[in-house]
Amino acid sequence: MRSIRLSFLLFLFFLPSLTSALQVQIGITRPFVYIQIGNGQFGVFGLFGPPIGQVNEVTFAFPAGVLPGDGTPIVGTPEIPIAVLGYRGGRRARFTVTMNSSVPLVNGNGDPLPFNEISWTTRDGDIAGGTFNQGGAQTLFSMNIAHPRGRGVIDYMTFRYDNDTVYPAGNYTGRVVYTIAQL
Amino acid sequence: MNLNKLLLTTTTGLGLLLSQFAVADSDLQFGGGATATASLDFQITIPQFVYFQVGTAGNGNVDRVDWDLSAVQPGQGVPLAATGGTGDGADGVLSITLITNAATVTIASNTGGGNLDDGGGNTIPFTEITVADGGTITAPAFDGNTVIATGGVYNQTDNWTYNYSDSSNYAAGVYNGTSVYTAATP
Repeated sequence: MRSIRLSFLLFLFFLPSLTSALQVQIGITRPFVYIQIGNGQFGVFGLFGPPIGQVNEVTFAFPAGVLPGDGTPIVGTPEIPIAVLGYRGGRRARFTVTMNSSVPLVNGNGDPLPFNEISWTTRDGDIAGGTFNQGGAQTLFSMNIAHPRGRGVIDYMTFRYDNDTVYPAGNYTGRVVYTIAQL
Repeated sequence: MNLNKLLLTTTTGLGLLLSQFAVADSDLQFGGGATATASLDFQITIPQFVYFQVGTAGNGNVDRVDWDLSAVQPGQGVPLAATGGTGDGADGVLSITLITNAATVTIASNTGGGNLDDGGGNTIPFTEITVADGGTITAPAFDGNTVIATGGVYNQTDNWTYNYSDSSNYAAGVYNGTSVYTAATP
């Protein structure tokens, strides 16, 4: 068992260097859903190893010469891994992943910056790119296939701030909640 | 698309492994109809900026407003409109643009001494010239300043109109002076 577990860990350890997304098939036979957003201390806590209590953060910094609202997109860092897996039983993997971006980012003065200013792309489109719609249940990904075990996808998201509107100066923070639901 | 596939067959081993996934931004739930959530934070730092245009656009463009009093009796105390000038100042009315995302902006005037001079030791104080704004961007008095509360994002234009008060007689000559306007954010 230990050798299998280690091989899984070692395999996933090299995932960040892969150039494509990963479809995952796992040998678990009771209904489950699993979601992971972000990375951290691999080998200590699991798949990508986020430390307990830590939510990854994507930051957007203005390069020199780029002005607020001038239309030059700002790419966020780091690239964020995402893993969604599930099995509903009855030889079917069926689930959907939604995002809640309804609460805007805000700065220290309470000025809002809506999440529809942020979009994302993925490495190879297994999870489609898109733009946050400020809604409470925007669909990111769905899976519905006949399969005797759990199935899922691992991909990597790169976020972009449109920078096409002038907002008050400040440090804006906000959170998107991703939910995987078995169907 | 280059698709890699992974197959694991040991349920128990995976279960042990997945049990370690249940941390802040990952979640594993078992059972029919289960849901699981994970979060991702975002941080955008919007830098502060200010754009200020007095007269002709372009860094280093300095317009001039002229008053030629040769056709009037000087010192009558009747304000005189500009009679000419250069660039956007030729009609005595300067176009003003102020764009910023700072909470406040201070617009200041600095004449470098408060006088126009003729190069021969004679001066006219800048207080002989008045400036009136159109009610949008408050014009500071010469060597004074005004503070504008922007409400967060500010993008306005206005016209500043200059007049010569002609309240006193001064020695004949051509007098020149410059007011440097500055828009500063906190």
